[in-house]
Amino acid sequence: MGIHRSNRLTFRSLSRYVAVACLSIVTVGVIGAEAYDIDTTRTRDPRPPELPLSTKLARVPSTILYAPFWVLEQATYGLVWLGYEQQFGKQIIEGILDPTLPVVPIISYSGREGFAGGLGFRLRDIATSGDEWRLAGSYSQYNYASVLAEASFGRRNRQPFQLVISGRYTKNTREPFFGIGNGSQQRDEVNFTLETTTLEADARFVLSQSLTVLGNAGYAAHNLGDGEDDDFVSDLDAIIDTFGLATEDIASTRYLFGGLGLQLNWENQPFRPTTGGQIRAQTLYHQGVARSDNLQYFRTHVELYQRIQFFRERVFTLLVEANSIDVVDPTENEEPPFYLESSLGGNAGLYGYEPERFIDKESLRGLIEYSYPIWDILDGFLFYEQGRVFSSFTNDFSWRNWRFSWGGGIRLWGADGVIATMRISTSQETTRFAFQLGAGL
Amino acid sequence: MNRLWVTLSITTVMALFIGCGSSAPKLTPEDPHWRDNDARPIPKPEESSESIAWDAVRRGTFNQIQQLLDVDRSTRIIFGNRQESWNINSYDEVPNSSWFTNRHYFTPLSRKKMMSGAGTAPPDTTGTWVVSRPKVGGVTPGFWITDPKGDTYILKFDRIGFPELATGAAAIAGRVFHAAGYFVAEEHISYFHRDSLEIKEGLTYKVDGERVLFTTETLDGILARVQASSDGYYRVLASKLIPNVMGPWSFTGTRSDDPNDWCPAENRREIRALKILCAWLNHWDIKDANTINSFVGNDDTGYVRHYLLDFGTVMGTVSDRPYGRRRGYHNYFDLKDIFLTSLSLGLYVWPWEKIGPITYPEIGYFESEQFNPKRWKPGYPIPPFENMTHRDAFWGAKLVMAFRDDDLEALVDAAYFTRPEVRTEMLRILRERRDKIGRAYLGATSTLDRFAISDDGNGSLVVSWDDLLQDWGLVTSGETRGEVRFDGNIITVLPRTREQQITVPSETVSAMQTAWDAKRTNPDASPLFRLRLTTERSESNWATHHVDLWLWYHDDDNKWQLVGVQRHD
Repeated sequence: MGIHRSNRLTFRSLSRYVAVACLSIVTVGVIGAEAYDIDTTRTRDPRPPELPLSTKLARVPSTILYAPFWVLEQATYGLVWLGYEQQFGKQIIEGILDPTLPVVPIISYSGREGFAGGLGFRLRDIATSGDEWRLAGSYSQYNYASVLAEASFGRRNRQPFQLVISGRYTKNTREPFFGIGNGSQQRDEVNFTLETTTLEADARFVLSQSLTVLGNAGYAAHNLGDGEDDDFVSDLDAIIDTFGLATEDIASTRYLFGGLGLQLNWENQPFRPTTGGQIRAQTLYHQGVARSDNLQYFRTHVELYQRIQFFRERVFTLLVEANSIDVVDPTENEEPPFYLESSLGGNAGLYGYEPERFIDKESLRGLIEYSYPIWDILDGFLFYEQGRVFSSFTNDFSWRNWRFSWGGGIRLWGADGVIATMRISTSQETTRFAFQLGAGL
Repeated sequence: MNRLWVTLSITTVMALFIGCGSSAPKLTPEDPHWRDNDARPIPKPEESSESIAWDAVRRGTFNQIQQLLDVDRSTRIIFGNRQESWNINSYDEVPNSSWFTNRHYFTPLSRKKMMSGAGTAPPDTTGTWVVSRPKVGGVTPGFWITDPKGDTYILKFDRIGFPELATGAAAIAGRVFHAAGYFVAEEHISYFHRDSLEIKEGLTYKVDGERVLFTTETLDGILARVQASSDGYYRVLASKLIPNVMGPWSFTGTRSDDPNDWCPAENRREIRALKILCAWLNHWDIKDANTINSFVGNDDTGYVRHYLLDFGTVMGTVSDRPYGRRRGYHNYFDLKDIFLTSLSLGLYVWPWEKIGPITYPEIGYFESEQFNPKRWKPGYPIPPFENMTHRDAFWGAKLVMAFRDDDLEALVDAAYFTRPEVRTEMLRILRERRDKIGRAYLGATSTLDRFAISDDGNGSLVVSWDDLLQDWGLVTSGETRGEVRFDGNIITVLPRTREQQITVPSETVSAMQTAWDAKRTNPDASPLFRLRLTTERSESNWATHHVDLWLWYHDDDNKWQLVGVQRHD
């Protein structure tokens, strides 16, 4: 009985539950089915929508406006196709970016030299692993000429010892000269020709991660001649008269030189350093030969900079730099001619002035720079600098009449340091734009 | 000449405004369509080639200029009336096609299906794998193998020092794109021992244009550059060969030799809204070269299917090493951002600069705190991404938000991270980025979706929906009111409801039928009724939006059919 009733109840209950459950499933299922199940049998033959009149009309001016860019686009496509998709084009571009290609064209322009063109030949790993041999020559619109032969052994920042042996000939036909001393005037600009031949050996010994010893020795010959820019006084005799120079101030010279230096670096990384700094001190002894026997002097260069991280990768850099020429025995020896003295202006500091703008025995410069990251390998920077030349730090030093320049630019970084710098700088006298390949602060 | 330009400009602008007028959409009982018939048999088109360099130049410069000088496009942007996607159906959805298949959003995938992705089974590890082809191109080391079943896979590895980074990210990304609806290759995390590899006899590869034998030393050289476990096993992402490939598809235009390719890629919603998924996963390297066409059929006739390919540069990885932090915030060469950064003199701090150091090598810089979906950028500008409208973005955000927490667990579990803390962190990042996408894009229009209509048996109509914001936990509630119109006249205003359904009472239904009876004799009239649903949120950061449901009355069998869904910004 119990079992029977139990069975009947179970059957009835189950029937009801099943009915309710089915109803619920059907109800929810119907709503849900319409909501979630998409009927992919409902197919259409797709076609673009009928576009409004405005869109059709607007195609006319759009096409006309883009027409010149279309031509440019096709030309660019051709260049990319040739330069990147084709093996030989790829090799040329790779050669320019990473000059393993033996031949590299040299093209440049500057106001003083005019357009210059030439060729460079480069070979690597000929005698030893890491050696590099370069031969380059260029000639410019205004007869500037340059020939370089160089062999380097050991790669910088890769191997502990690096030796570079080079021979160089340059002929600069429009070199400016403004007179000697801090008080020289821009309006007094004259120009002359300077031919320079050097044979030189540079060595770097990396003693530790932070300490490097620098060695340097060689021979140099300088010949002076009349300048070729007729807009300025360019006759050597006239130059002597203009500035009241002594004969030795403007003599041609030949000399041997050699010296040592130390570089202590505590930057946190070679790529875009944010903290740390560097001290570099180097002294070179110069001994005149041939007709320059009386030339005996030391050239000393000291440079100190410290980077201070402002926040994130924004960095302030403070730099102090001094150059000094010390004649071994002033009573016996000649003063070196003006073109061998310390100078400020252009890439040597006081960027906002003409190159070699200020010349004297000693020079001192201080710079503060703020740099900030712009892109992956691109930094922006702003700088302010002050500098002055002196006839003697001890006898002539003064805090007055310091020259200043300021400006900004961008800097391209490679893994081992700066690859290129573009700088706009201005001073009381002029505004200069400069592009510099290679290291710079 | 000046007059010509002025006339053209005025005509364009006026015509544009004329075209802006809203009207009832052209709907029929055939709507909505859920499949675009773009698989009609065609002769096999030419294989297309890729040029990564040209792609970068074209996208970064010429496409930008072209867009700027496109009078129609620029005028539309100025007046906030961007052209909507072409391939949407009357529900404002994307029908299935050779580009896209509606999957997880409408029919949630099971954990098992989510984990298996586009694949069915991983490579067979019971026997020897034969190295059948060296990998050509790309940054990362790899090679092709054929497993004992005869299936061919390309193997991608992890870099030494970054175990599970590249393989894990790609495994997750491939599954996400598949579940969302895109075509992707079958990809599996797999493990093998060096001893189980054999090199196909006579296998060669090219070095500087010359054929060189692929030797044991070559193989060991490749394996020496990749991460291996202490017991000599290698973890790989095995990506199955897509058959019959025929080069990449383009993010612009159509193929002239494919009659099925009717809609320019830049006007496809699934390609425009791909940006949202890419932003979620930081798929920064999306480009033509990372797509592929496959010819489905025999050599004579078939159709082209369009795949996304190579997720080696997603989340925190670029190929096999960690991304730089700035990826996803700028294009490769972003002139505008370079200009702005230069001008700001470094005083403006980009969000990526605030990203801390890498905590987990398996994850890299992939993070959620600084992520802003609306500011995310791919490697270089992708035209469809730039054409994305609010509705496209809403649709893309739906796809992303459809991955709920348990789905994310399935996805991350498919990456087989060894360390549990990595799994937890990856889940957190994906979840937070997903919710940021939801908050950024869902608010652009009404978030009522997946509508259904049913008869309650008493003559009333029940219209139900999913309130996405509420279901996905972004708001606590919403209040919806309805308004029924026919031929421009209000028939009734329905009372507010907090439920996810609204009832059109039988009296209103009768009134609707009567209204149609009065118009039946008009040959231009159609039995199309508009039910406007307006939802208000108590949370102030969500605007009030309305959505129009278009109901078709079948008077022959007294049935109602939902034929259209029209969203308004």
